[in-house]
Amino acid sequence: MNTKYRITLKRRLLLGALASFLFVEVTAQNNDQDYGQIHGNVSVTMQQYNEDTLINAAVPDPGTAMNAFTNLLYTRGNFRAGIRYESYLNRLEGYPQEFSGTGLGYRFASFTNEELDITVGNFYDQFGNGLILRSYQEPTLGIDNAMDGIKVKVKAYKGVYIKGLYGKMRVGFDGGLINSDGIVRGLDGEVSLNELFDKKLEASKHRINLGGSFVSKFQRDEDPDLVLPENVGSWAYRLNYNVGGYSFNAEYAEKINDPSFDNGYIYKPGKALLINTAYSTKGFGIVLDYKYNDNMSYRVNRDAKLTNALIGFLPALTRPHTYNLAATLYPYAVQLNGEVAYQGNISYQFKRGSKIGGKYGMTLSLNYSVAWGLDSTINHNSSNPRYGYEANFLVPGEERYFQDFNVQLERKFNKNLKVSLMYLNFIYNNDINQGARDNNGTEVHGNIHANIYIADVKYKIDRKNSINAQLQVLTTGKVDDHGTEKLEHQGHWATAILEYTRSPHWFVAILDQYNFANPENIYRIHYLLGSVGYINGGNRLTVSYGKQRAGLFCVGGVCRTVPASNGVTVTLSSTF
Amino acid sequence: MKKLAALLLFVGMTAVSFAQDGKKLPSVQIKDVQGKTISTADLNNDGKPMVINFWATWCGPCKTELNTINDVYVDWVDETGVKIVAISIDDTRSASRVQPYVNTKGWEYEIYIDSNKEFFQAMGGVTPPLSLLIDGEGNIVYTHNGYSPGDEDELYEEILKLVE
Amino acid sequence: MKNIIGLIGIFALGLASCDYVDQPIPNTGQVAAACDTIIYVYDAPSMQKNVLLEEFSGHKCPNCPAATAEVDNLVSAHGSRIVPVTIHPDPANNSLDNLVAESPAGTGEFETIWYFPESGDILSQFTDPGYLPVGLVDRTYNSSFAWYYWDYTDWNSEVTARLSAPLDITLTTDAKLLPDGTVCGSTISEFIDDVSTVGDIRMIHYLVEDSIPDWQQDGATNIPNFMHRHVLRAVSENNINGVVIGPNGGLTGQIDTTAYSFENYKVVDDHHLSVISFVIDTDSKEVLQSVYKHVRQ
Repeated sequence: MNTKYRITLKRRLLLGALASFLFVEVTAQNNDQDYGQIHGNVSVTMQQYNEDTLINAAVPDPGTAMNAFTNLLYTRGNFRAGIRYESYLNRLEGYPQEFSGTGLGYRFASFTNEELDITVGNFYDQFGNGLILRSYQEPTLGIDNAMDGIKVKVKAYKGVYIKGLYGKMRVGFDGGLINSDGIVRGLDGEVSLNELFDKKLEASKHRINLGGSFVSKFQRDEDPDLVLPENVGSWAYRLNYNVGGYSFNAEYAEKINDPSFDNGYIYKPGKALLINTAYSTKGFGIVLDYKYNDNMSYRVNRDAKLTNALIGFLPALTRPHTYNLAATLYPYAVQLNGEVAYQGNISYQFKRGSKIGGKYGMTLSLNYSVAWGLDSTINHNSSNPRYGYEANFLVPGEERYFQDFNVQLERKFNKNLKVSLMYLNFIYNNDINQGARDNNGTEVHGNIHANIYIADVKYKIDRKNSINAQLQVLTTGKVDDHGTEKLEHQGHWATAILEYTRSPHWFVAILDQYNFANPENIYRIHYLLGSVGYINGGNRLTVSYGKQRAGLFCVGGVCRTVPASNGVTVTLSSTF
Repeated sequence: MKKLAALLLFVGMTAVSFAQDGKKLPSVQIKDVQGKTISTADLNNDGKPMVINFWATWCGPCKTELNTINDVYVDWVDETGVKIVAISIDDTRSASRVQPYVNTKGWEYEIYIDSNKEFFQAMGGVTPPLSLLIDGEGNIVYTHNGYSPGDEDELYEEILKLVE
Repeated sequence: MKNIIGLIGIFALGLASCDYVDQPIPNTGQVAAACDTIIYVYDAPSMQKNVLLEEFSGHKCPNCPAATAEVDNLVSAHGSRIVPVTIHPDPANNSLDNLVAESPAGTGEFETIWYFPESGDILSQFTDPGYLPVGLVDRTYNSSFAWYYWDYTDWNSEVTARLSAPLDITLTTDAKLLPDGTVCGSTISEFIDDVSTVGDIRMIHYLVEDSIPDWQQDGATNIPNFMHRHVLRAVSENNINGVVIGPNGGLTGQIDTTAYSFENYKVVDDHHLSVISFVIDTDSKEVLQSVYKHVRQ
C-alpha cells in the first residue's frame, strides 16, 4: 500500500468517524430516544518564535509550532468508546521528541455492568499508589504511557475488587501510535474488609482496605554482551486504614533484577516503601509522609530515558508549588535510582471572629520536605559481578538532594479583600537535579540556596470585576565562611503579576519576571509577558505575547525542561 | 485503520443492541476519602441538580472557587437542593493531603479522589478546575473551565434555571 | 462467573514468569574461525563523541576503589559513550612501587601481577604523577595542574566537557577470538571533518579483561574479591604509539582500515575480553574518538 493511498484512507475514515459521532450527538439532542452522549475536548497550542540571542531563544525551522489534540468520547449506558486525534506540526520547542506528525493516538471501547468492566484498545490505570504500575497522561508535559491491549475489572465478591490487564505500552507517536516492543501484564486485587464482613463491620468506624498487585514486563534480550532478564516481575502490598480523622496508608513494593540504562545495567533487585499518615479535624490538619526508593526505575523499555516508557510511578514528596518563581526555578525531580524522602505538612485555621482570625478567619500552613540519597556501598561480594550496590533499608544516606521549607498565611480581611503571604526556603542540589544552567547553558555544580518571598492580593471590585496582584522575590546565595555573600546560579529574581478578570468571560494579565541581580550585568533581563483570555463555559482562548525564560516546566511534580522563547502563543481549549 | 473501523462498528452495534436505563455518566471507579471504591455511574442527587467539580490541592483557582462556594453552599442547598461533588485529581504525591485540606476548610461537599484522572478524562477534562452541572436526568447542561471571582454567580444562575 | 475466574486464571499464567539472572556475562559467545575482513557500515546512531577514560590504579592503592566507583557512576550516566580502561602501571620506571607492587608468592594476598612493560610506558609518556589514582580523560591537558592527569573528583566535569566536543572521525571496529587464543580484527576510521595537525593521527588498540575478582586495598581494609573492571591486558603489537592513519591529519571522507592482533597475553577468563580502539592526535595528544568491542559475539 503506498503512502498516498494510506493518507487518503486515513482521512476518509477519520471524517467518517467524526461524521458518525456528530450524527449521534445531533440525534441525541433532537430525539427522545437515548442515543448516548458525546463528551470530549479540543486543545490547540500554537506558538510563533522570534529570534532573541540574549535569552538564547530557540527558533525552530518553520518559525511556528503547534501541538493539538481532540478527544471524542461516546457513552451510552454501559458502553463507552473513544478516540484521540493528535497533531504535532511541528511539536512545540522543548516538548519530548517522541511526539511528531498527525494521526490517531488513542482508541478504545469498553463495557461495564455491576460486576464486570472490560476495556479493549487503549486505557489508563493505576494499581494502588502506582508504585509498580501507573499508566497515565499529562498532555502539558508530554507524558503518555497509555496501555494498548485488554483490561478486565471484576467485582468478584462483595468488597473484593480484581483488575487484570495485558498489553503493550505507548512509547511514542509519529503520525500514529508507537507501542513498545515489550509487553506489560498485571493483576491487582483489593479487599474492603468493611464490605466483606458487612454484618460485623458495617457500622464500625474503622475502615480497612487491603490490596496486592503483581506486574510483569517482557522485553526481548538482544544485547550481545550481557544476559538480560526478559521477564521482570514486581509486586506490591498495601494497607489503607481510616478511623475518624486519622488515616494511614502504606504500600511496599519489590522488583527482581532489572538491568537498565537508568541503573547502569546492574542486577540488584529493587524495593520501595511509601507511607502517608494524616490526622485532621475541623480547622486543623497534619500530614506526615515517608518514601524509600531503591533501584525502582521500572520501564517497559530498559534503554528508555527521562519520562519515556515508565511502568511504575514514584511520587515526589514535596509540596507542588504554583507561584511562578517557586514552581519554575528549582523544582525537585524524583530520583528513580534511589532516594529517601520525608515530608510534613501542618495547616491550621484561626477561628472566625477570634482576635487573630478576624471576621473571616485566617489559615496558616507549614510544610517541610527533604530528600536524601541512599546509604549505599558497592557490593563486591556477590557472585554476580554486575550486582551493583547494597543499600541500608529505610536509612537515608549522606547526600541531600533537596530541601524545602515553606510557610503560608492567608487572611480574608473583608468580603472583597484577601491577602496571602508566603516564605519559602530551598536547598537544591544541582548535581542531582540538573535543572539549573547558567546563561551560557552550562550546568551549575553544587547546592543552590534560595529564599522566596511572595505577597498575593486578591481584590474583588464588584460582583463581576476583580484584580489579583502578586509580587514575588527570589534571592539565591549563602554567606560563606568569610562573611561575604555570594550569588548562586542566576542570582536574584523578582516577578510581578497583575491580573484583571471580568467574570465570566474575560481576563487580562501582565507578568514581568526580572533577573535583577544576575552575576553578569548583560543578563539582567526583563521577561515580559502579556496575556488576554476569553472564556465561555467550557471554552478558553488565550493569547500571550512576550518572552519566556528557559527552565523547568512542571505539573504535579513531573517536570520537563523548556527552552527560552520570544513570540506569540495562542492556546485554545474546549471541553464539551 | 482497520482497527478503527472495527471499533466504530463495535460501538455502533452495541449502541443498537442494548437498551439502557437512563444512567448517563460514564462508569469509572473512583474512591472516597476513606478508600471505598464507588462507580461514577452511581453519582446522583435524587433527581435534583448536581455539580461535579474537578479540583486538586495544588490548584490555586480550584481551591479559591470551592472555598468561595463553601461560604454560600448552605444557602444554595436550601434554595435549590443542589449537591456539589468535589472530585480531587491529586495523584499519589498529594492525595494524602485531600482529606486534611477538606477538614481544615470545613467543606460540606461530597469528596472523592480520582487519582489517575480516569473520570476527569472521561468527562473531557484537560486542566482543572472544571465544573459540570448535571440536571435531574443526568444530562450535562453547563460546563465551565477555570475560575475567576464571580464565576460562582453564573453557575448559581444556571442552577436556578434548572429548578424553576 | 466461571468465565471470569477462567479469565483471571489466564492472566495469572501470563504473570508467572520472572527471570532471575545470576551470571549476567554470557559464557556462550562464539569463537571465530578466522579474522574476517569487515564491511564498513555507516552507523548513524554511533556517530557521537565517546570519551576514553584511562584510570591508573593499583592493588595496594587505598583510594583507588573510590575512583573505580566514579568510573561506574560515569558509565551509568553515559552508557557506552564512556570507554573505560583500568591500567596497572609497571612500577619499573616510576615512583608507584608501593601502590602497584605485589606481595611475595605464597602469601595468598596481592599476588596477582597485572602490569607489563607497556603499561608502565603509557604512564611514562605523561610523566610520573607520583600518586594514584589518576586518570587521563581523552588525554586532554589539565591546565590547572600543568599536566595531563585528572583527579577522579574532576572526571565528571572533564568527561561532560569532552562528551560535547565535536566529532571529527568515526570508528567501526571488529574483534574476533580465535581457537588458539589470538584476538584479532580491524578498525575502520573515516574522517567526517577536516583535521589538520603538525603531528600524526594514530590508531591504538588495547585488550581489556572485565570482571576479575581479586584483592584490592580499600582505605584501611583489604577486600579479597574486589571486582576489577576492564583491566588492560595487552597493547596491540606491544606498540603504545600505534600506527599512523593520517600524517598531518586527514580530509573529510578519508577512510582507513587498520588491522591488529593480540597474542601471548595473560587472561583469567577469555569470555570477558574486549578490544578498545582509539585514535589520537600526536600533537595535542588528545583522543579524537574511541570504541569498545566485546571479542565474543
